[in-house]
Amino acid sequence: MRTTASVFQYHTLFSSLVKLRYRGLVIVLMAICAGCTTSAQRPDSTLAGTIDSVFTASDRELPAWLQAAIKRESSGLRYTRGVKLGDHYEITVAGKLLEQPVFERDGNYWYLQSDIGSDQLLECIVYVDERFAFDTLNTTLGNMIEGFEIVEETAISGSQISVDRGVPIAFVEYISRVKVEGELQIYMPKGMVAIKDDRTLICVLGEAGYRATFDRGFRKMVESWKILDAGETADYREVQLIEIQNTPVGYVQIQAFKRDDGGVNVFSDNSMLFANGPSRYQVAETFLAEYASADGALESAHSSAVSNGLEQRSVRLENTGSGTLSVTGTIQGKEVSFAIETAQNPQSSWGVLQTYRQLIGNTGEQRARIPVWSPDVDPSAIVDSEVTVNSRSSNANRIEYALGPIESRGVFDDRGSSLSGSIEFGRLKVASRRVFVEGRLD
Amino acid sequence: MHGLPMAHVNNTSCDLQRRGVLSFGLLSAFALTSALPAVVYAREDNHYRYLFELPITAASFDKESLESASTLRLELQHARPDRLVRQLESLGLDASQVRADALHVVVARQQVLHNNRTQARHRQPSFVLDYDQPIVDAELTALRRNKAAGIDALRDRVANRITTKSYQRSFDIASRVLATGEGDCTEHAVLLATLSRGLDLPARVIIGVVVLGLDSGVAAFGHAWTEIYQEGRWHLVDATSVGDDPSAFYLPVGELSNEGPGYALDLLRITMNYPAHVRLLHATPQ
Repeated sequence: MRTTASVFQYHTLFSSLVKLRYRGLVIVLMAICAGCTTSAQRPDSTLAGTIDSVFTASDRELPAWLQAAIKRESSGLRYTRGVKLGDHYEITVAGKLLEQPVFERDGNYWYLQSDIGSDQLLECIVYVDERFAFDTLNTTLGNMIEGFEIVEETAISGSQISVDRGVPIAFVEYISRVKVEGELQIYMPKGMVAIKDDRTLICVLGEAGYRATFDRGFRKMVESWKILDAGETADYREVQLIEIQNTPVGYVQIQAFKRDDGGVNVFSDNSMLFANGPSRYQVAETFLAEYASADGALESAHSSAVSNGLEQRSVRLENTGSGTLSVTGTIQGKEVSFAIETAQNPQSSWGVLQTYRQLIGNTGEQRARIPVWSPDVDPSAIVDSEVTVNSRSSNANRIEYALGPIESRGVFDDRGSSLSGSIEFGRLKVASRRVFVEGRLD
Repeated sequence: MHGLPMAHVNNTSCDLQRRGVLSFGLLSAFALTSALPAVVYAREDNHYRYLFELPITAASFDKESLESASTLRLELQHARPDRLVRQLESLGLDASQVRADALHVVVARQQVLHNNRTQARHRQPSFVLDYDQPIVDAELTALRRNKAAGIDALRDRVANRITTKSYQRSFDIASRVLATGEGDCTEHAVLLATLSRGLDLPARVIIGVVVLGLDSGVAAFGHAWTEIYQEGRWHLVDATSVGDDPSAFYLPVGELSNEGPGYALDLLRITMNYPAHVRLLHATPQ
């Protein structure tokens, strides 16, 4: 049975945290989720059946009827249609577009539905501002499931993080047994999110199966997606893929913009999404904006972080001169205000990069100490970091970096950019590798 | 196969791989700065496991042998055993390096840190243990009204107050734990220590490893608990269900000494000292 959700009914399921980047202070707002207890996407009635074994199977050996449902694909992507979304976007919608996309002014997003040949409609939102994208995806899927009477604990079904031509993309799927009008049914909502030019595109499908169709259709949309009102293009951009035990779990994107006065603004986005048990995915996202002088000294900065739908931090650092820095904002919901007395001005990422380059190009000095402000580890202090070049080789320089007690190793190119790196906590190994780079920063 | 039976995990709410912050210089020192949330559940050797569950070799031991033991002798594998030895000795444990990648340590039942004196900070509110916040103060008022000031009553209160036992929170401060009612072992430990201090009982948060017997054998995993000072000595108190397990042995790896906004750095310092493997060598009968 096809569901044609009303726009108003469904949109309330999309929850997201706004990331206001270019204003003075990063403000993270929880979107109002007034209708989170309803869902337009219904569990597929064709999947009702004996499903006792689904959640008790230790290795997720699903019954044959469910496996068959999960393997379903469609040829609905033979239909595509290019649309212009106001002055914001142009995009080629995968599948048959049933109605004109709608701009939802309150939420600052475009909403569209398309038929990709599945029983349910594909539903997408394209935000016109910046969001904590992974958190938006995970929270939205959680809201979709909670729209039903959940009979047993929801289980994770699959996730995938990738970077496609510089665009981070995440896929998440859950499986849940729910009761609809007294009948037990399987619900397998899936969703994908992409971040392009700091904008977020998210699509969901509340149905088992059609994974490849969904994935292909979504990637086509992302590839065609043009941001018409994009801001200034970064002078330098790189994307690193983050892995835990060799499985991609997130990305870091760094964008640097040169200013007319010689200074540099550096924006770092870091998003991670991974399972933290058989039933839930966990999300952690951070954003750091640094405003640096030409020589790399940190002039001001702001930082925000979210974890599973809750704001963890939103703080701003100002250099008030005469050796005093002020930090104000909120941490874990508590208002904070610190005055940091420091003899040394902290260095920005741009300053640290310059130090890397000097050490790599200098056959004498191997080590440098750099004071930094790292709000992830301590927003109330300047922490000493230490860089050590262990070996120099063309575009394969081996460097150790220590931030307080945290030690990491990486291989760097001659421009001071990391090609790969790793850090270990007991047997937990977190690694990074550069998967995209464009532009130059001099 | 899950690393631990879900029922067990749900009840114990333990959390070993702590929030991690990475910084190994990409474009900059901060470029790969990331808050690794509490728990990672990942595929290893074709099985999904909690990565806080430490590999342990304890073939000749079981739940009963742990229940009847007074001390355990453990071999811990670590890339820098000298550093871990120093850390454990500073906590008052008997530890010694035995190989380039391993050390031995003896842990007693209800092991507490050696320092039997309290410090002023063990009584004071802090950014993490914020009993000066209204939401915590209201909780303390309720406890005082019920005259539930004993350690057992506090422990029960914390266990009941955190109604959602989950790994969804990374490391929440006490006021947020009360606001969300959600958490794993770190949230239990933080809230218990906070309420204790609020009731004039010195307290501290300990991060470490717990070794205990399951039906499937002996397991080791990262954990957090509380030490409370009463009647002239420190008491180990665990508000999670591990605290009810008579087979549990607690190996402290560090005390949360930075309870300010920079607590993450302290957590990382402790987490970097986690062993990669545990071998149970000997259990001394009581």
